[in-house]
Amino acid sequence: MLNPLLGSGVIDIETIRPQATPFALLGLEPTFDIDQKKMEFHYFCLQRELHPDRFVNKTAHEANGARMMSAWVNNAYSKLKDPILRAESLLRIMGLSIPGEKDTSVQNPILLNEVMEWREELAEIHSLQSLEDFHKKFNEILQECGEHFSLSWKNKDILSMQKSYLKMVYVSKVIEEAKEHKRNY
Amino acid sequence: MHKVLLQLSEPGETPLPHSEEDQIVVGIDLGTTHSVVAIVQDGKPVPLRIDGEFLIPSVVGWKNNILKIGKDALEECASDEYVSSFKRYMNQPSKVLMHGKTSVELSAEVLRYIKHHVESALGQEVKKAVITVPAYFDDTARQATKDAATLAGLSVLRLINEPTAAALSYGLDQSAEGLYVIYDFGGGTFDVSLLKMSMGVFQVLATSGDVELGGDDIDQAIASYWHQDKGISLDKNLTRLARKAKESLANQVNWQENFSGQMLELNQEKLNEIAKPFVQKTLSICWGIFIDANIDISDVKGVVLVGGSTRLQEIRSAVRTFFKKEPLINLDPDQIVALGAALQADALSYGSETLLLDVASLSLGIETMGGLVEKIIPRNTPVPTAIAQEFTTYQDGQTAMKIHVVQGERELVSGCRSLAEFVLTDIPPMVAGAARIQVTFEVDADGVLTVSALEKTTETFQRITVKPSYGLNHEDLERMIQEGFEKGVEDIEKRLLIEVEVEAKQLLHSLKVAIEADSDLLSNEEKENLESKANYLKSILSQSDREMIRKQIKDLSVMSQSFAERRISRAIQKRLMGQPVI
Repeated sequence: MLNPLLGSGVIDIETIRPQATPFALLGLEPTFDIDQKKMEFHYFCLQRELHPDRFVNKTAHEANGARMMSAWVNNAYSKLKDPILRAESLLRIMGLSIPGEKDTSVQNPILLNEVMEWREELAEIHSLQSLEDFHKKFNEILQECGEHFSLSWKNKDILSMQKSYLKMVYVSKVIEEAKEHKRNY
Repeated sequence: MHKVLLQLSEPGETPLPHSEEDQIVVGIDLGTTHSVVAIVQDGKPVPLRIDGEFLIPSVVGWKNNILKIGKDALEECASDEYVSSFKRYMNQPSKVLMHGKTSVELSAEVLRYIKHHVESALGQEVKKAVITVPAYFDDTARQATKDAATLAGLSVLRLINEPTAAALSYGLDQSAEGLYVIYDFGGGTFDVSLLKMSMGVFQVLATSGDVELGGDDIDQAIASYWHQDKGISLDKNLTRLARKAKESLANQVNWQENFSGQMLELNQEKLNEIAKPFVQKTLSICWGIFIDANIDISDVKGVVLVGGSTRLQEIRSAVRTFFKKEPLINLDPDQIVALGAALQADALSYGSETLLLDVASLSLGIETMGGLVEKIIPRNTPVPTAIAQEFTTYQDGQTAMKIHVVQGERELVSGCRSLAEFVLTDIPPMVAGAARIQVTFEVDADGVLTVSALEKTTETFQRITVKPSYGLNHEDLERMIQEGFEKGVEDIEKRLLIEVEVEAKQLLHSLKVAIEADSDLLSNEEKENLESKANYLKSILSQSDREMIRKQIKDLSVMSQSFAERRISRAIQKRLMGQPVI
């Protein structure tokens, strides 16, 4: 099988550095609505070259270098796959503080109230079907927050970006709790 | 230790010095109840017969103080003269199980036996192997498996996860594309992995399992049933008979046999009833990986059954109902893992277009205040991975700090497996919170963890390989290898010296070629430093001082690291731009 990226020059290999943004590492424009297929394609192409399996016959110092690069690419991939981490990466690119991170307090009483209500709603669920419905509903809410974040990114509306990011974080926490309940069924 | 089997020479480069011809690489499924070895012949993986059988019982015994392994041990030793299922103790590598031997040493006996038989059957040396481990094996058990191989004189090209090996074998055989579940219920362990197969890439999306759940448990339950029903004493013989009954019921409805004067019986219905709770447990683990991966069960294209236990009718019907699909059984469930290991051994040695992308199956974290765990690497993170975390001191003038690394999913340290505790010392005294200690957790492609720490304000560097306190250290291993060879210490010393010399020559050679090809990537100063360090290493090669040579190799490797990274970047850039790599 030929490497399909051969000759396309889409990825600038000079970007494989620990301090590079995950978008740069995977040869993508920094945006919330990434092309998933393109990301996977770039990811596979890079790992074809960098994965430790390709360096079993090479000397230890070459293998060590490649292993680190392979790890950075893996980490970038994990970050871009997850909508929250992807949004967080974009906030970092803008040089913004991450709401909820160390030393930044969350000042959004309306949201916190909402979160309380969601939790109560979850606590009152006693059947798998309603749990599935709840999970589905919150996946949709997460989707909406993502769309909102994406729009704010395009408009470079910093406040709105931070606000929708924070909501995404809380919605995903509720989803995680719902998943935990599901696991126990 | 790393060695070169087949150096792919770049144009204009002379092959590296090596002394390893007439060798064959093997794939070994080191199982709880039995092991299987396979090789690739004419591009196809084939299992090898040992003593006429593909399945080698993972059993070690002593008859009149004479070591017996595999079939011999089962046939010749009385029930108190042999030990089996020692793989279950790989996470307790210092626990002595029988005859003064630990699970690591017993596994080494099985590996040595396999190595020896393959060598005499094929007339070729076996020095390198891909060995499979349960996906859910923790760091300790993985390290223990590598130690067992080292003791047996095998260098491990890669540890691969059993379900991943099975997927490789199945995927290549059936040209599978799409989402697949590998349901691997073996003698002692249960694993389930969700994989995406596309364009020759085998990408594990999620994996889970239970290292204390296997066909052995069903055998035990059958034996207990007879024990309660007929009052027969519970021992290894009864359990062996239980397994025989269970296996017979894969293709018949009733089983009965006379056992010390009593007629023992088992029918399909009873077996299903006994197996049910164990099967339910596997299904709830399967349910969990779909929740983890955010994937709908209906998106799965096929479910591949692996492991001898999947011959049970109860399992087949439960899997059919759960996934709403007919399970795939095209390949022998006992051999499929070893076949995949052989394919990977071949791919690693001679190159391949397929790519295995696996994940860390267990979360890694550190202990924080109040016995809580802070997760550093969550489960299902693609490997290799490296995550750095910054810590600080909480007292003025604090000069040391303890870091406790744990593995597992629980929020409390007490619910996780303790991997290592280490102390960072020589932190320069500063006010509380001023020190910046960066700790990097790395999980390599074998799923093995390394931790290193750096105090960033003073650049004090510490590297710690995580090993449990009761694990084997490098010296232990060397001593045990020495004990394992009858030829005496001198030969071992010589062999180790030759190995380190070959390693040094390889490094010097590749560095020379690298500098000639890409000297523009180095500053004059860097180039001079590298060359003088290399010359020094060359000058001490004739002095037969193994430790000294080893140290210099390490120093030179560290020094040339960033140059190597720059070269790799350049090579890949050229490759991706469609130019030949020179």
